[in-house]
Amino acid sequence: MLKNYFKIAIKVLKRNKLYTFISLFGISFTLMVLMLASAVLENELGANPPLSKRDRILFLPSFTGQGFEREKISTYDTTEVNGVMKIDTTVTTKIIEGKVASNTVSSLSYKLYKDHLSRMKTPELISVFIDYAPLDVYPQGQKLTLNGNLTDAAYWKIFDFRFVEGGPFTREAVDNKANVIILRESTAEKYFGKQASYLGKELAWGIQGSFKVVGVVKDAHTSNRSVRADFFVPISWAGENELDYPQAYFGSCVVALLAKTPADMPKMEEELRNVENNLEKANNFDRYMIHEKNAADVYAWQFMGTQETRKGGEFLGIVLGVLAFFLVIPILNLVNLNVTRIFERSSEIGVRKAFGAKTGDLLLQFLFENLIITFLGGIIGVFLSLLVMNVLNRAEVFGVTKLTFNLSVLFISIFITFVFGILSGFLPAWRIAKTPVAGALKTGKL
Amino acid sequence: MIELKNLSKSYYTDVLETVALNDISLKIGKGEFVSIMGPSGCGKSTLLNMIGLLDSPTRGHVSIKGVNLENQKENDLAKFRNENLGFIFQSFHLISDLSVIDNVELPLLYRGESAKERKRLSEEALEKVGLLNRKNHYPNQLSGGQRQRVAIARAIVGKPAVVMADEPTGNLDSVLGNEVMQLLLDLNEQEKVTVVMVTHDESMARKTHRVIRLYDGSLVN
Repeated sequence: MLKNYFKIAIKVLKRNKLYTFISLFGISFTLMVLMLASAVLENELGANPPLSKRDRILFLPSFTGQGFEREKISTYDTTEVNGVMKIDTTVTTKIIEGKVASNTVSSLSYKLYKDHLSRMKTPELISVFIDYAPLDVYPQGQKLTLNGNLTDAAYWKIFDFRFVEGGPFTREAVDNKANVIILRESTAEKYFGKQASYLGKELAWGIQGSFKVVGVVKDAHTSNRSVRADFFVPISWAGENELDYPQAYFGSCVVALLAKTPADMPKMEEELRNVENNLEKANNFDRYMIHEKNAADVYAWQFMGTQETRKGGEFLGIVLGVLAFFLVIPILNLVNLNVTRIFERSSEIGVRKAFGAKTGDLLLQFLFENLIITFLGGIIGVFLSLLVMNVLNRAEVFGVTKLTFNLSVLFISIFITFVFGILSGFLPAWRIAKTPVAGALKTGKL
Repeated sequence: MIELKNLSKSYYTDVLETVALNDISLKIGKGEFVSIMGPSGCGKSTLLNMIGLLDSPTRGHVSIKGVNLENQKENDLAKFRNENLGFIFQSFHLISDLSVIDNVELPLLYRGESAKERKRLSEEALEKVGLLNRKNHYPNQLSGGQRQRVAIARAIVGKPAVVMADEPTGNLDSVLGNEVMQLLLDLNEQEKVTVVMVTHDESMARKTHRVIRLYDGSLVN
């Protein structure tokens, strides 16, 4: 039966070439946009290395200290001393709970990590790192601006970078402040020129000296600052102020927590609240807040919200809403085209019904035909997506983020195409399947 | 085989009721070849549509092979048509995008027959109408007479008990018309298929067992 439907579908496509062109153009263009959008989202929010464990990772990129308003209350009392009236004044300060007078937001200090966060019980792993270490280097006399991450050893267990060669640095290398460096593949190529191996080569870092390459990782195609660095060195190379500043909780570190399971994330957040509440208040700060974000929140932060807010869910909702809207218009258009085209075939419907086609048979036939055209559109859409992706990547429209058309994007694309085919074909198919036989036979042409 | 009781069909607009059939009662026996005649617009095709379960009556009952088909669900009627009825239309109603053999196998498609069995039965039906050599042609590559013979093959491929023919020779010249009529007569005689045929052609009607005449939606004695 499907063979019969397939033959008809191909014939119908060939019969009205203009209609077919308009349909295919609309479908493929729409699907291309959706595939590109899903590629961007998949690259940024999919479980890809080095963020494969993203559903278990909480980032702590910022910390807030708030000082509440204070009210001075003076109490006056009068006493008689040697027949003379004297005024006795007592001044007390009352903190007005919740009324914020000062707000300081910054990254976390190493002290906060060391004294409090590193002692948390619920996470499986805890990593501290500094995600901003700009460095100008001059290979072959050309200036090359790099950004580095200063990391601990746990970092490499939380973020599953793909090593092209070598491996992560160890805890001893961090403790001993070893001159070791891990490079991104593209950075290694830019710095040393394309070579078979970069292991053992040395990169000069100003007064810090030379760093030996111990690993090369595949480029991370994401905008997440925690992992998109050009190079990685032990966090012990951070300035003394950054590591040993005695008092404040403000600094330049980011902490990443890895939950044992995704279900443990709420427990981890709960423990964070306890850490927050038990921090020793100092410097007129009355309330501390550690702001945690998951990977989606971190991504959304580029577009909406602040350091204190978590907007990942809302952002995804808006994106999906926009995409759905983008999908609805061409679907309605295609429904309209399909209705017109299918009614031209009402005589065929009449014949099929006369000879025993049930409503379900006709629904299946027209949905099948529509799926064929949408899948043809989908295939063209995939090729268009690959083409546009290549152009966008070359033009670095998304900065360091490179769009890739991986298996997930392919499956998402097939799913989108399927949904598109069903939605745009169902209404016309349903209407035609319900047409009375005698009426259908009187009209239309075969 | 076929029994109609007090069958009426009206079409309604907001202000007007048009009576297409008025209180028709008749019986058609098994193996009978009946023709329905009458002037244009008298309700011949409407009556054929009622008998063929392609339209529902406003009042009255239709039963075929002893099955009362009143208030049946659309899908049950489709199944009944598929298993018991074959149709031949004046304008052939072949699907132009399908080859001759694909057109012929259409009723078997909805019966769930295997591809092999569909091919065998379709070739057998085409053989009967003398068009097996044209099985891979498309309808637009055939003459009018050939198209109607393909339509007959499609009508009989499922071995129905009743064939409904709505002016099967109406679009054909007398030579081709006679060829098609002979096929229907053979079908009736040799395979004992009940045939109900609407026609304008008195000479064709005379070849059938009985002529039912309609005038303004009513039977004429």
